[in-house]
Amino acid sequence: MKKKHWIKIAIFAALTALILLFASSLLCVANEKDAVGLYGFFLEPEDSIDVVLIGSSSIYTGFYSPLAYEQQGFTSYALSTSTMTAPLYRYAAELAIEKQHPQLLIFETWSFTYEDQQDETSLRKFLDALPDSELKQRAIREIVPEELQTSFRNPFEKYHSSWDRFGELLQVMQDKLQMKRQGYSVTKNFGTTPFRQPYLQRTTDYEVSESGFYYLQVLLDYLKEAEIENVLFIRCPDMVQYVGTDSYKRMIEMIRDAGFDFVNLSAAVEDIGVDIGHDYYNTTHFNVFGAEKFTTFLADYMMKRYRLRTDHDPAVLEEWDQCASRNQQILGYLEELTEQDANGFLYTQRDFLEPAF
Amino acid sequence: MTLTSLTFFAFVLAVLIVYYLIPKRLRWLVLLAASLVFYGLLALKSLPFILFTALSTWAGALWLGQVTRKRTQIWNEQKSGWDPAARKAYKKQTQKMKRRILALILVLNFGILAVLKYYDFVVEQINRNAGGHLSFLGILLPLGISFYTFQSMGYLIDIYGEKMPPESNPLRYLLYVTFFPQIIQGPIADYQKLAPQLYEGQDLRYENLKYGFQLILWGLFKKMVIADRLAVSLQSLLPVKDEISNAWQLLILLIYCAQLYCDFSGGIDVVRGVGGMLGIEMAVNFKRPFFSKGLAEFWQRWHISLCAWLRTYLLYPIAVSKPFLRFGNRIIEKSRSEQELPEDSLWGGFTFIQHLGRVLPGAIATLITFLIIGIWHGASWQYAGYGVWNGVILFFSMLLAPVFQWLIRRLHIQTESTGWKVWQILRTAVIVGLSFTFDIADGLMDALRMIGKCFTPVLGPTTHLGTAVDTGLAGADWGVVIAGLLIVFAVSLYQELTGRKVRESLNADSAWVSWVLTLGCLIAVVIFGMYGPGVASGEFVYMQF
Amino acid sequence: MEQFIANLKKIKRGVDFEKETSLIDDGLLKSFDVIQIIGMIDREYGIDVPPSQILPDNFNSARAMWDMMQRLED
Repeated sequence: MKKKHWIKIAIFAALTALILLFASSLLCVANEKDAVGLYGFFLEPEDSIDVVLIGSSSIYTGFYSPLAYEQQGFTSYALSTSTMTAPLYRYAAELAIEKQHPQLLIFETWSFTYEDQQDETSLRKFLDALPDSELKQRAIREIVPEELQTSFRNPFEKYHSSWDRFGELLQVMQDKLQMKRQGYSVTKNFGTTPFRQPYLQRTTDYEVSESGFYYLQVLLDYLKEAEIENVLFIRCPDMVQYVGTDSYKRMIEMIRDAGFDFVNLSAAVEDIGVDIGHDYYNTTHFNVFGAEKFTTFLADYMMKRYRLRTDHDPAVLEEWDQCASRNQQILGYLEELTEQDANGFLYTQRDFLEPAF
Repeated sequence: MTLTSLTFFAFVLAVLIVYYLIPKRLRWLVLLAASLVFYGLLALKSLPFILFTALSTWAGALWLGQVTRKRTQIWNEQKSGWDPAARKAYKKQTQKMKRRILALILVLNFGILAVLKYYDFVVEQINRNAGGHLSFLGILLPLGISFYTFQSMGYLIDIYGEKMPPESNPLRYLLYVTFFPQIIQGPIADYQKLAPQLYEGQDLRYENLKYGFQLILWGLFKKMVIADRLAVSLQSLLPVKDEISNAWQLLILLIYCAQLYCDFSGGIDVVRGVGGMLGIEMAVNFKRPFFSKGLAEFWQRWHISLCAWLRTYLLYPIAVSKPFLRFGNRIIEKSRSEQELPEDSLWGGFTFIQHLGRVLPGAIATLITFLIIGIWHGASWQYAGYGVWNGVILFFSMLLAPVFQWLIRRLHIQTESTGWKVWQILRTAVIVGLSFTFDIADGLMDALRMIGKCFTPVLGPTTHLGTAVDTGLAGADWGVVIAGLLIVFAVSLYQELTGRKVRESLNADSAWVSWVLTLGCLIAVVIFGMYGPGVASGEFVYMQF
Repeated sequence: MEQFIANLKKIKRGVDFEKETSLIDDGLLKSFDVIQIIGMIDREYGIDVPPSQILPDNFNSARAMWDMMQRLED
């Protein structure tokens, strides 16, 4: 065989590898919004975020970081994915501490009520969106069921069949590229549905599951050892009226015994100023109106309770000033759509700045 | 490890590297080691069986060779001193001895195959019909036994027929039997074509690597993108086939035809591609079978190596055996007439009796051969039915051939016209398609029922509008299947019309085209292939034989 | 030999047995025809053709068949 043949083989192999790499990064997306949102987290300069909020959808639909910055001056990011289950909390916390050393970590407690804490889809929404790292491998080993671990380590094995979502995935890639070019995410993982849910009376138990307790303990043990100044567990306000149960009380005890704080924000709906038939897009999630009020309240609460330091590098301040300067435009636009009950889930900068429909 | 698994590719890569690094004259040892490792990994417990077949055949062949040599020596020394009667007697004696040796080895090996394959079936029939209480063997068939047994017995019969001298090195013969690419689903090799390539180390050539690799990709495309996808659909449709309208039976058969062809021919392409990368050319097993214009032609284009084997070692021996020849010739002798019938008479220039005498030996032998093909596929009445369906149709088509010719002449049908050819192709496809009911039905009666339903598509349970039948695949998946089948059809059409190998024309034209298509095929397999968690990779259909 | 070719023509019409030299390879003779030819050889010439002799080389032309018959007579 001549030398040119070996070269041809090498080129072919290289081309194959390149194409597969591209295909992999394009296709290995569990959830579009989570992929974009977590990508934004990794774009933030290290040690620039003061508060990291961890939890499932109540967090990223209820809290708008640029607004909190505008009002109180501290930076924050919602490290939050859809149906985020409790086993992920501990790793999200570790990730947040490793990258940002925040002054305050906030955990939303609804995830401790899930029965199937190792639900594959929920785990994937977070883990598959992480770039490969020692932390990710450790998380896979420890919280992913044994039989699924290989397909978490080689996501392409599963996601190659996502070609039928090619259109949406191409959009995700475009969004990421745009964010990269800009250098940061403007909307900091915020997502919303422009809809006003009329008031529905619902009552149900707030029941913490056995596995929920288990992973809460794991989280608490980790936090006790970790270098973190402040930790706050919150319960978000919902349209649904939850009845506190024994397990709920036990959960609060556990948190406080470990030396951390818990606050029930659904008791503060009046102070927040929630307009129950207007501020939710369904019975468990704030729309943009509710998010603005909730953000205002919570940011103020955090500032008062923890006296967050707001000094940052000029580069960081510039980035956040840029984001905050769009608040009027973005929130105003979203408010308009919500008044129209336009519906549909919006989460990318594109959605927030141009007509999305 | 299946033929479409990463493990297999890693294995092949390792074998390739070692094979081409080792000095040329030792390369066959690499193949032998690889084949034994392969067999051990897949079916360690069955190893004794294949070793027995290889050893017994090798020894039997040597024995035959020795007998032939000794007797030829005696013959050459003595024949001038013998009269014709003595010569004939000596020949007969030699034949008798050789025949005994052949029979011994054949009975041993075919016996093992027959027992392992059919014992449980026979026991079941006895238990059910004669109230017996015999117990089952319950042994799993050794991997590839139907293939390697046939291959070895073919070798032995060739030695008996003095086609070539026996192989004296047992390890070399063992390689011929266990050669790993062919062990799972064939093709059944011809000794004189395969063995020399195996024993002689092959040079490392770029064309071999390239062509072989392209063939593997093409096979994977057919198997992983098309066949495995259709298999998913069949998994949804087959369980409910009795609850949906008869029209669906036709569709199910169509899907099955496509799935079986892509699965089997795809697997064979992978096998031949692996062989090709090792510089070894293996037998072609498929020649665009659905372009056949008749059932006989179909069996020259489908599972070619099996049919060639049966034709050489079963059909011909039976058809030209003394009893058969005498039977046919006696009929002809009895019906010799003075009058010469015109060529275009009903029976082609013969009387009916004469015609029978000429064709019956072949026709009956064909019928028997297809019965064997039927039960080769499986030990059950439905597979016997498969054999009967093919055998009977061919039997009567042979018998009535002159009548068809007469009809065609009378109706002035243009047999060279495209329209007629298309009709022939479609008609054959239908006959073949219907024969596949025996594969997928639950038993013989069910198969017959299915065939019946195909002729009455408007009958049967009506599927109400609104309750859609779950085909098991999403619309996008059907799009992929149909696109894939169109590609396969286009390629087949090209091959059929031009007789050229696509790979050759591909690589002869612009290099760009070749690169793009090869890369494209690879990417298509990787992205559209049915693999990964939640997809039970369909084992090759023919692996259980 | 002419009689032999005449017999061949009776078995398979429309084939030029005088000239063709790739009867098997070109698919002009099918296995079915070969069987009939062997039957004819046995019937008309009393020669026994064993299956091991059924090779393309022996049946590709009328001449090849004739030569095979000569060999088998020994």
